[in-house]
Amino acid sequence: MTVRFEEQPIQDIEKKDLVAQVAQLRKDGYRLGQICATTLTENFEITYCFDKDYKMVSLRLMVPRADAVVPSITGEYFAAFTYENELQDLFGMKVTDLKLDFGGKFYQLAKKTPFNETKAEAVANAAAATQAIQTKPANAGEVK
Amino acid sequence: MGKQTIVPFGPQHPVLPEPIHLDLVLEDEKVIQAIPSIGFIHRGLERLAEKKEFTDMVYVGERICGICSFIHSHAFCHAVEGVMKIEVPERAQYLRVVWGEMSRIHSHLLWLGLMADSFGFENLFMHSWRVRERLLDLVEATTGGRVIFGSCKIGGVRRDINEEAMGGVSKELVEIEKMSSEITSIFEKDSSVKKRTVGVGVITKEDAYLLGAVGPVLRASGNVSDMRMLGYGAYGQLQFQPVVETAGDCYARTQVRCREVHQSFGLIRQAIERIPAGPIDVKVTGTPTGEFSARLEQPRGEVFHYVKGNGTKFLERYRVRTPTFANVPPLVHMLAGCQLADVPVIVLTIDPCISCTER
Amino acid sequence: MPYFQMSKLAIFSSMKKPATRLYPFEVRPDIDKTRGRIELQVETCTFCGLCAKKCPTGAIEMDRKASPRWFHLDRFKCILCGACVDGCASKSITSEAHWAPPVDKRGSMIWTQAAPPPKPTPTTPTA
Repeated sequence: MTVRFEEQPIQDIEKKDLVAQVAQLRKDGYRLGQICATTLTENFEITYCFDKDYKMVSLRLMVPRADAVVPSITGEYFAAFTYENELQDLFGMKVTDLKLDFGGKFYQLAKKTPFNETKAEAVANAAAATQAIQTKPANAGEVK
Repeated sequence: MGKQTIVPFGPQHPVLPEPIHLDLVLEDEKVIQAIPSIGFIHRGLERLAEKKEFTDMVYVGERICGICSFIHSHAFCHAVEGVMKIEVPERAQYLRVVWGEMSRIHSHLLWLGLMADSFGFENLFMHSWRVRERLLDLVEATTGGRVIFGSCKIGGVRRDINEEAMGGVSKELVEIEKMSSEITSIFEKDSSVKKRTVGVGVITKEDAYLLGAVGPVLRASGNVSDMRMLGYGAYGQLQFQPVVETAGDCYARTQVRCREVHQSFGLIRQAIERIPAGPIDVKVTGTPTGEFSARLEQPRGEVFHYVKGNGTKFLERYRVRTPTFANVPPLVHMLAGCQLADVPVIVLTIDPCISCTER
Repeated sequence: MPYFQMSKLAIFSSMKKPATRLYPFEVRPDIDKTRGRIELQVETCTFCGLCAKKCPTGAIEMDRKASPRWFHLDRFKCILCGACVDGCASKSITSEAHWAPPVDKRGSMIWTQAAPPPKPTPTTPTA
């Protein structure tokens, strides 16, 4: 007996078509699954997953990391406010027209935007931090 | 218009199993609006995928949550098997179903106890957890751990239940089923339970669907949606229907969970009858390239485990969207307009598992 | 009457023995499949290093070349997953059926094995 792994079609879209496509999906009766973002070297890759009758479709959007501004879909699906606030808090993106905007206070964390680094950058940052700690005692003795 | 005050609910509260913070805007004991905020136990588990090999991430996936741990590990294994197109042997699939349903029963019994505690019925709380202890002893006898089962691995399961142990499991489950039906019948019939839950926290069918509710919150409002119908594991071979109620209030959600406990006992019986002999795992070679979203039904709802591999031993992205995260907008909707004394009952009725939510 | 549904359960349970155990006077009996404390029989260990590779938290360290050979297990990093037990080729690392009792200081276990006897040098066969 083989377990069938279902087909999960992904459609690449542009930022300007996002709200129109989501509105069409809402008219067709889909519900919001999740919004997932991945940090790549140059871009953020944002995937919007929708589900109806156990079939999942996804929309994929690439946004450059230097200018990460995304329109909100809370006009269509109000439930997206949790995911979009998470995009703002963890990744440092800016989401425009959010219906319920926490302004960075949804996730109360010690380190702001912790997911805004790729694996290579994380390793480099950790090395730089250990370097800073090791050179610190030389300066601390000078404080009167 | 009366005077408005803002009262913080949580992160520490006797009724909450895990910390969530809600700012309740009150006008003389009536809640106008509730503003959630999370992040108290964010551990950054998704970033660990960059440091640990994908075969070791099963241990991390299991430890996202203590209550729904087995199904998290099953979902991770299913996602990686979907990316690498691995065929898991049949016996392993049936064993995963047996343990998954045991995990569901223990989670629902835990929730029933906490629900009773939320309106002060501590006697029933202790009795529910007493029945749950019996089930956890059975789980420990078959898997080795009470809370963290440690049984799933990519390509199958790590240990087997032999014939004689299977007979012992069936006998013990008959006892536990009798004890749980005593508990669930109290929840469904007792007047004091009904007084606190009927008509409280109502959400309509369309609102639940569009606000992204999942699990018993969605099913108690009349929507038919249970991810086990997708047919992962051995669920494609078992006969069952999603448990649906129509009222949409806290009592309907309690009824859905009580009936799911009985449905789970039936599913375990079916799985034990049909389980075939054979190997319990396959060897896994190679590294994952590609992406897949595994959607499973946890006791709290639909969970997404999204896995993206780029050909190395380390996954590029591992994303878990847990059911409580999706149930936060319905919670905010339900809390608007309720009385202050109903707030613990409504918060508990979505079954908050915040350590899952924040990973 | 729907008000006292609980009464049957409450009355029967008040007549039975309490469901709680009076620990530490009454200790829970061990279940044999429990993944408990990790122990090593250092005499049979071949120091192959498989358990250290499989350990997901890096709790196991060993040195094969030192004299005497040592095996170091950090009990506070160990998550009792049993991957080392499953992977051991010589079955010298085992998982006991009970958990370790609580301690008040962090620590780890070090096992040492005296150096193995030297291997006999192969002699060339004389014609």
